[in-house]
Amino acid sequence: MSAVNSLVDHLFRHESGRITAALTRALGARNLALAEEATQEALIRAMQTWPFRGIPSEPAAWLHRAARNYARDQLRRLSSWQTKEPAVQQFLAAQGPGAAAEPGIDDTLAMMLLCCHPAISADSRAALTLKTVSGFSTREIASAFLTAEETVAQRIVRAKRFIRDEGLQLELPEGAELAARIDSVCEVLYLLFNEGYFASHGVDALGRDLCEEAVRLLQCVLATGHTTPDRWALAALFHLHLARFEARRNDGGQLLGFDQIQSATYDQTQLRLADGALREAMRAELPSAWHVEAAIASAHCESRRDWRHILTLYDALLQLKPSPLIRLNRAVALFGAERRSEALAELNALENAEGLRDYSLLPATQARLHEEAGNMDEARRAYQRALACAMSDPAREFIERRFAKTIS
Amino acid sequence: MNDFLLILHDSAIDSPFAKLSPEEMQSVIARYGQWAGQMAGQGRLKGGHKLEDGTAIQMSGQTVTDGPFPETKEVVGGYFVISAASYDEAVELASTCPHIDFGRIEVRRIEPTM
Repeated sequence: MSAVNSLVDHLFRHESGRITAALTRALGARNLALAEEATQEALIRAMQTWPFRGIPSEPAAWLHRAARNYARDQLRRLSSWQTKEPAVQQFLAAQGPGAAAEPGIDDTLAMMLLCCHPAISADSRAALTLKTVSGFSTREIASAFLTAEETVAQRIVRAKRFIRDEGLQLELPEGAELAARIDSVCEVLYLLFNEGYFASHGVDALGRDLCEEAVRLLQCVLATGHTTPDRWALAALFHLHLARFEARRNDGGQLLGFDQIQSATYDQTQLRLADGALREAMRAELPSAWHVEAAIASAHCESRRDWRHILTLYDALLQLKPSPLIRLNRAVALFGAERRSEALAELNALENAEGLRDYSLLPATQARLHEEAGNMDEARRAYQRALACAMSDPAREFIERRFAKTIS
Repeated sequence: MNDFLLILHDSAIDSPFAKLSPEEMQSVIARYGQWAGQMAGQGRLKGGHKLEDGTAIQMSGQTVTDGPFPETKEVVGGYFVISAASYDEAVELASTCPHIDFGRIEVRRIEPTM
């Protein structure tokens, strides 16, 4: 019995993605379900064995081996079409340690390309990526996305059926197609990060996990050498947001208002990482939306916010990516730049915008700005509208706290 | 001090482990490790093994029955041997083992040799 030696944080989560990717690469995308089952069995096996004999010296390799053995046993039991495929026969013929390649970074990239395939419906891509590449459970995904577990499960099932029916392959295409497919992955990572950062407000650890997972997967993309200035800009954006992650709450875990966040509490490591990424991003000929968003995040990190500068950046962003959410954020900058009535009028106009209905941030922003402008009746009404929307517990607690202030 | 055998029973069907996410599985392993480490640190841990799944042959007289047995709802997953001053203390220690969240623990005193 070995002494207590502990596992690296998130080892199971990360390895489960790697193992599934390596097995799927070996067996073909049509055997994705078997690869996932084998991975799951390996993890369960570890749970049943390690408590007695201790953690093996190379836990990742142990898991990989256990999954491979399980897959091999299962395949041998089947005498159908499945074992006749050349890839499967090759897999079965390979014996002993070192017979199969260790899980590699290219496997993970190929798996991300598959999960973020443009033909898979947009709302399924993020869930499938988290499940298959990142080893999140449907419950964890649902909780991070503030959605019902059933909805997430359905999206994943639908996406997998689509992969099978359409015969999508686990592959690394070349040239322009590869670039386009990686861009599709980056869009999903951007979405994942935003969910983690804004939807859950990172108070339960899951929000932070989601953000860090998006960063890890983006680093994985960049590490394969497929870098572009735009992707570096996305990395910079992630690190700049993460720098302010903890600073957004007080010691009791309560969310702080925009004006209460102290720049002294920013995470210096993240700021340094952002600097490095920004230097690479600067090689772009034309700034992308991610460049502008990184510039905005960077401006928010300054100890004195220059709202006029931020407003200019939002104007540019709106040109590149017209969306009601960006208009909402721009309205805050308008207000900060002392164009208050314009800001409030813009927020009113957004009430009918597609995609912002039942979105708590719109009434919450209206309430905050009305409060600032001294229109307490308006502020109260807007807070009530905000409280009628779905939101995370910390966000609700924050709004309730502000609402109570307008009454007293 | 006496030695006690902790027999860890698992549910043979519907393992609660199957529903856990990888992250949760890792935290469960950490809990077992912590518990075993604690027992070892106090000099109480005398041994423990996982029993192999699958074959379980039962013999009595001339009859040999080959398992696994579909009618059994539980299987013995493994065991620990720990030392404790009394039966009560052994039960107390067993109740801190994370296994009680996932299965059943049977506590038996090993009769001391005279």
